[in-house]
Amino acid sequence: VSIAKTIRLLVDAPTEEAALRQVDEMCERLLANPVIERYTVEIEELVAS
Amino acid sequence: VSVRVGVVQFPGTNCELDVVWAVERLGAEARILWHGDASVHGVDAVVVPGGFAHGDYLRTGAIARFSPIMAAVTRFAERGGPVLGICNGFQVLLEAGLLPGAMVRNRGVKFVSRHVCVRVEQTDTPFTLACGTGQVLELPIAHGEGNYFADPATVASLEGQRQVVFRYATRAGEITDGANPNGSLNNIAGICNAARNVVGLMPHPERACELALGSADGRVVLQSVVKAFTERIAQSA
Repeated sequence: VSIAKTIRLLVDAPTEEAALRQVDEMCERLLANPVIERYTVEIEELVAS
Repeated sequence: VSVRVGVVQFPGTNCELDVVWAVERLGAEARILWHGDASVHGVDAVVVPGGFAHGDYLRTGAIARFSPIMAAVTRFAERGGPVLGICNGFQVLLEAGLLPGAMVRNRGVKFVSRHVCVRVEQTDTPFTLACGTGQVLELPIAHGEGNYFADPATVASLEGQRQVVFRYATRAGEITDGANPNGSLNNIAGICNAARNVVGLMPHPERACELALGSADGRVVLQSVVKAFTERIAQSA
């Protein structure tokens, strides 16, 4: 059995790469425990109105 | 001069007063270390007790390890200070990277609260030096996520460097699958770091410090660290 969770974050970043870097660091340090969990990141652009 | 033991308190910690009581009964001094403090206030040893720090949100220990006190505990540990993590405290030390590996949900999925037996595998840590090698201790466990996991290379290195300090065992001291209450790899109930000053275990020695509680076997764990410092103080006097 494996279970998963989805975490949605609103990230303020100039580029997709910068957003990915930020979220990757959050995953490594807090959101996931790399010893027991794997994670994937999907990025969706929201343009400020 | 008595030995001073700092007991960390996070929001959701619930075993700190049990540890304070156990420490004081051994004739040592206990002091609560608030999670927001960035100092261990000069104590001789630190205990990170059990409970549900920060409500176990996200993962057990995941949020607690960012507390200012954990930066201080990490510095204390790096200088060789003795640190003991009990149950949720062990989980916090794993998340903080002071000990290797992680905890997953118990095999059998349920929270397990009962007395178990553990065998003392190593006596050259500050929390087992008053034990005999192979001594069997009856201690209570109370956890939902105590199933110790690490990748095969980490487990091999723990075994190779004698870092498995406690193993779930039968009363006679045999390591069997039946004696393993949660599915931990190699029946691991407690480990230490490579420097051997940081120890974590899932069972609660502080809840087994007098016969009225069903077992007094846990005394020897805190007695070990008190003994280490009492001898040091006596030598320097």
